[in-house]
Amino acid sequence: MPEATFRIKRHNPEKLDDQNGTGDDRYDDFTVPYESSLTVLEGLFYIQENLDGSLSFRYCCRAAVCGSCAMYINGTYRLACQTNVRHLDDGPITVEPMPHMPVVKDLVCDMTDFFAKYETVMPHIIRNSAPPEKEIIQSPEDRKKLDMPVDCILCGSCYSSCPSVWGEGNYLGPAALLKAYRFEVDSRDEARKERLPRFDNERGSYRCHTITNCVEACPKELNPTEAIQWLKGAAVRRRLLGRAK
Amino acid sequence: MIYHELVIVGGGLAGLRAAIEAKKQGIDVAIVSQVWPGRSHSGAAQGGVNAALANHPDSADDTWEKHAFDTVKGSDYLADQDAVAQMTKDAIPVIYELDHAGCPFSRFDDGRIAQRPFGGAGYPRTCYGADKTGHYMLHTMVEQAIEAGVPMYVEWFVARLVVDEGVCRGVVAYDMVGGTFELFQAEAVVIATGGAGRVYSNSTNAIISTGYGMAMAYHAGVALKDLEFVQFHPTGLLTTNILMSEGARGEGGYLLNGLGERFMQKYAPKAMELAPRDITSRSIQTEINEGRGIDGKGYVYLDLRHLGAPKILEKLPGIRDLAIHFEGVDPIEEPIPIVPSQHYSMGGIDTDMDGRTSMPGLYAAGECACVSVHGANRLGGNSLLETVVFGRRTGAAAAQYIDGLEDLGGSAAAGEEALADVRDRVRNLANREGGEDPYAIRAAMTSTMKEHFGVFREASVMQAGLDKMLDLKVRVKEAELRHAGGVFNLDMIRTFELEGMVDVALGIAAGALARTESRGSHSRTDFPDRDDANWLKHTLAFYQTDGGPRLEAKAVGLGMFEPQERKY
Amino acid sequence: MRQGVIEENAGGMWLWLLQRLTAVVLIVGLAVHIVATHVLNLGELSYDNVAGRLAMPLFVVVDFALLGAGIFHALNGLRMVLLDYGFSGRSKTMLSWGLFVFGVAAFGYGAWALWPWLTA
Repeated sequence: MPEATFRIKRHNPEKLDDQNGTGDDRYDDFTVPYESSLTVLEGLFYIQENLDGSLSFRYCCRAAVCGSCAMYINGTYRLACQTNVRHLDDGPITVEPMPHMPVVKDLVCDMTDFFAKYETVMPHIIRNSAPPEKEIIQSPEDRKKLDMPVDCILCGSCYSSCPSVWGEGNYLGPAALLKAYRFEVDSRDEARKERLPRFDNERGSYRCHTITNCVEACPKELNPTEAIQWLKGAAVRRRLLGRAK
Repeated sequence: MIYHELVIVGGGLAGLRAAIEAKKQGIDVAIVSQVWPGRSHSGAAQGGVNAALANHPDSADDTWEKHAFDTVKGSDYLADQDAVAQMTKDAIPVIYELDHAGCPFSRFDDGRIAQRPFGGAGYPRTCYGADKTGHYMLHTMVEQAIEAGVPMYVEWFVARLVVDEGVCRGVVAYDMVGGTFELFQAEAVVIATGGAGRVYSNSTNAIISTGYGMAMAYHAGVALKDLEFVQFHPTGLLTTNILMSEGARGEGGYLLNGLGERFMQKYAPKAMELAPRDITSRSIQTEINEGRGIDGKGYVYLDLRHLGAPKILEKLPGIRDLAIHFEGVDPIEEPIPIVPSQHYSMGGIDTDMDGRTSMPGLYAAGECACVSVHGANRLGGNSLLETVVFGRRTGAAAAQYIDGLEDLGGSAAAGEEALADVRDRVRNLANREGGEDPYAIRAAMTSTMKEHFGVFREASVMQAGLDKMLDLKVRVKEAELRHAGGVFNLDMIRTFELEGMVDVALGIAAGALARTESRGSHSRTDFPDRDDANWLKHTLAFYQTDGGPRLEAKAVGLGMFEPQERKY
Repeated sequence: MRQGVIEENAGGMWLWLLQRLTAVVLIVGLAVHIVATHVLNLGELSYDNVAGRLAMPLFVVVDFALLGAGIFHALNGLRMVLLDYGFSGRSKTMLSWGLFVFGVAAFGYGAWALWPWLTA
């Protein structure tokens, strides 16, 4: 039976007081046997059930749609559930929480700021007229503009990977801006200048220097950078050229 | 202590919709969820949501009555027809409401919401957003809840209800990040925690779909209804049981056996691959059992190749990604190996059409509830519908209940008692040395349910399964916690869940063995026919501390459609 | 909504837009400069000839535009880089003003150098 070695970064907030205040940070090695196929998430469950009950990580759908288990696996942003150890290089599999984020425990990072920023961009449709009796008509071409942004699962990979976020803790980051784009580009959204000031500043869209780490990191292969560039242009179109949207 | 007038346990579609409705009515409502609400299992739904919008060229004369008929027929006449009528009637405004809220449904050329054919439906009435409808709906609903200003307690695991003299007055929950148990006092509680798929080892469900919410109500004395009806989805991926949407067949996909035949010809010559899920799953299982699986093995093929790359990329991109990532198969090039997999709990907490349970102050909505609109077999596209229709009704009913109360303020004494009880439970689990391994019990339970209470059922097999489950119930009381730490303790959460899962699984087992007929998803080889004379009734299961549940019967709401034989 | 994320003085758009516009000015201006000095034959390369050209109104306008665009583009670009090293809030305001003052001074120095051709 093949085996995989997991090298897992540990952190225990309950040990912040001892061990020189480091939270007992260390890497632990575990050996996980498997038959023909093993995802990293399955490996983590094996370890939690059989080897170390204290291991903490996020999980939910195990089918790459919920966005819970984004981690830093062998130095790459991945969803643990979608990563099969057969497709990784030989040798130990290094599993770490997403870098540049505060850690709650082990592989669980603190997403508080991430979601607070998401809420900042008014992540909901804005309508300034009474809805029609039936659906709001939207052409397939207009609907197509939503294909990319509505696939975002808010896993946080892009946010963790963005150097502009590392440098400016108040920067909204790629995920929140992609969400702003998702609504700004929706033909059904009637926002005038409600959402615009939320992202149209140097802690918003103009903070993006098109480094495109987010594009590389996204496990759903989305393109937040492109969306943010669109937002910059949209602000000019609306503020200077007086376009409705 | 935290106080809200209404506490909603679970942040999936039903919970969010209930919260939004209560908030609209001026209630101080909060959501308590084990995961960030946008990560809930509602988001894994793929194919669509049914409503007789009559947008499709072939469904111009579709009506909610026809939708109701298809639903009742699909349920093998066990659904309560008044509830079905309410749901199918509400479906139309509910879909428009979702659209107005920004849900990115796919569109027809004229800009109206697109619809596709689905199993067991007489008309193409399943509205969809590619093959990610649940994800789109869930995010839309999260956005609406954020706009409405509903407070959310994210990553809080609700461990038990607070009941004061037969009235539900709150919950005790574990703050996973903070690492402590807290008391939520409330005037009413809505359970919206989803299904119990994970009691089976071969489930399409998310890992958090443990049925623990059902178990909480069950332990508090509320009946669980029709648990024996467990839906097996015809097309789960072979190795992981990850769902391959019914939309794949709705768009024209074939099911092929080892001989390369479209075998549905034999079982449902008219509907073919779009027969209801119970019939399709049985057909696949029969092919496998009779040695006509692929290479004689335990699976068949879902073949999409003839649809062509453009259609697959436009209509089924998510399916393709899942097949590539999890099965190593690109559906454009190769057929997808699939097996029937546990998918949905038709049964759940016994509620009326407004989510009320038998306990004042306790409500339930969504998959954890059983209204019943799905009866013995749910039609694809009706579960997303149920969450929003009954989520809304439940939120409204709970708000009305709270408005009618004279004294507000929760019940401190009962709350403290419940909190102490949970803390005791954790202490006992942690202090038990040399106890049972909870994960061995979990593995035994999930494989027992798969082997003994699967697609086809028979008395002696089920009896053996029930005995195993009774033994596991004894063992789970001796389970030992390996890790006693406070923060993000998965060991504790999963052991808590296990206790609930074993009881829910026992309910499924007992109900299945007792029901001596075949109806919908409950298919017995020793009783192959439906028996309306004796069994046109719901099963109610009541929790008992020792052994299996006490079973009672409850009448089915009829009136619109006379039970007939189901042919497709 | 998260506190601190929304920057009230929404100068971001102007700075971004000007960075884009000055980029266009620089690209076009430098292209003209390179073509004019290296490709086109604009007569004998002598002091009088060049000085005369520089005094032409068109050249004066282009030179001042290039001066302003170059200084703005360089300093705003530098500012963008520096912002990623922890300048935020008050320190960011100070950095921006510092660069602004430096930019004005640099423009003044450049203008002083170009002045003779303007009055020639």
